[in-house]
Amino acid sequence: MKHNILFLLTAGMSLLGVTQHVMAVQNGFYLGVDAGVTNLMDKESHSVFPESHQLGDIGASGGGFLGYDFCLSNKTRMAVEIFVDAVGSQTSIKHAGNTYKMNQQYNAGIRLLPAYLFTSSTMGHVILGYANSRFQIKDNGVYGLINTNYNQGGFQTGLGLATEVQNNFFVRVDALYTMYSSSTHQGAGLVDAPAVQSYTNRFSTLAGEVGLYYEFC
Amino acid sequence: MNLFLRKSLVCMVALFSGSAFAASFNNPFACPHFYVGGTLGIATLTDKESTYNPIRDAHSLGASDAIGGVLAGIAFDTNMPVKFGLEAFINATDLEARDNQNYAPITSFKAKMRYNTGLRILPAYEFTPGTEAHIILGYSYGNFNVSDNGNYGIIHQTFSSNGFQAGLGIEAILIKHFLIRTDAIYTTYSSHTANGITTSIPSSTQSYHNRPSTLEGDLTLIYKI
Repeated sequence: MKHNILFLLTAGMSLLGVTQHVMAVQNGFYLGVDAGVTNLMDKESHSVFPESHQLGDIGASGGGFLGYDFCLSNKTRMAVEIFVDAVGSQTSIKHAGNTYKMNQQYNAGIRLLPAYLFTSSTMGHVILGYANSRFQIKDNGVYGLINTNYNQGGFQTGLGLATEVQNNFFVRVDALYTMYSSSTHQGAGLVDAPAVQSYTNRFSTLAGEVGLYYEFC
Repeated sequence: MNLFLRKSLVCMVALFSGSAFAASFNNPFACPHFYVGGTLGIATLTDKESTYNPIRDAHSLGASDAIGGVLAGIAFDTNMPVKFGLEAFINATDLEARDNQNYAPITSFKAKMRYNTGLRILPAYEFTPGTEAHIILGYSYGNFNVSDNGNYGIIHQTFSSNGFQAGLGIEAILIKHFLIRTDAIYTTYSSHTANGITTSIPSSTQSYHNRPSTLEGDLTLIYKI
């Protein structure tokens, strides 16, 4: 397996060495894949014996995106894209053999990327978008009992750079921060406690992603 | 990240770093350029915190905040696409993650990060003239503080921890001598155990175990001499 990775790396480096083409000032659809790391953060609180925790943990993420890129002026461009990423981030609280887990399963959404061309083949972009994520919270007895999945909407912002590596193939590095609205769900209380435990979670994520995409011109 | 992914990452980085380093110094056209830069970004702190008295409590704490600082380095440019950089950096931040008990007695455990400094190498590949992508591989020295006024015990201690840093980035020329760079950097620090006291009477030792890590998204403006 290691040999395969080294071979792919060597092949990739060789491919990147071919002649470059400048970024054309034209409009077109593009399709890409991305991979990276996502830090899931959660401002968690509950109602019975109230406590609040700022939780977080890091996990891998990856997915794809499809967009349309168009020229605004000689130096500026605008893109609109839809994206979907699978996420494997989970944070937790453990107490006396019980665990309260919060995890993010995927996120999808739409975003705008106003961009500025630094050189003929490299542009920096701002990211402004909407993300909808699937979360799961599961407590088997730390503060109560709950096991629920739900979707939550959030605002996404970020910065990135993209450059053409080969004919119409681009590589891109993005830093993305997404803040989701808070939500409250009811679970069962523990023995000798009120019957209902309310769990409030306000998630946010910071992701660093590398993307490779092809622009159809 | 699992062990296989870590080993694979180290192998890939080592291979690329080695070839970039060799290309930089074997090439007769290798030309060192000094550079300085200012960095601004957002960082997240993750702290795998646990206490053991009277029973084990473990939290994966997290927080996000701004981070900023400066860097200075030397870039070995060649007439080949493969290049190599070496730089020192220092960043300040105010990252703070909390565990709050919101009923009497109201108490709080806080884990903070104040700054990090270190050295890193940046093997790079120039895709097009003026634009290069790089891998980041480095050592980071982080300064942390943990304090608890009664949530799990009593402690107030500042400590430093050594960390390994890895990341990816792209750099492009803005105008002559000025470059812009974006980086995504993950740093994992060694764990630290500190002893406090419990709030019980009579008090006994409370051990606080912390394993911090950070993820940064940085934007850097560089002046290359």
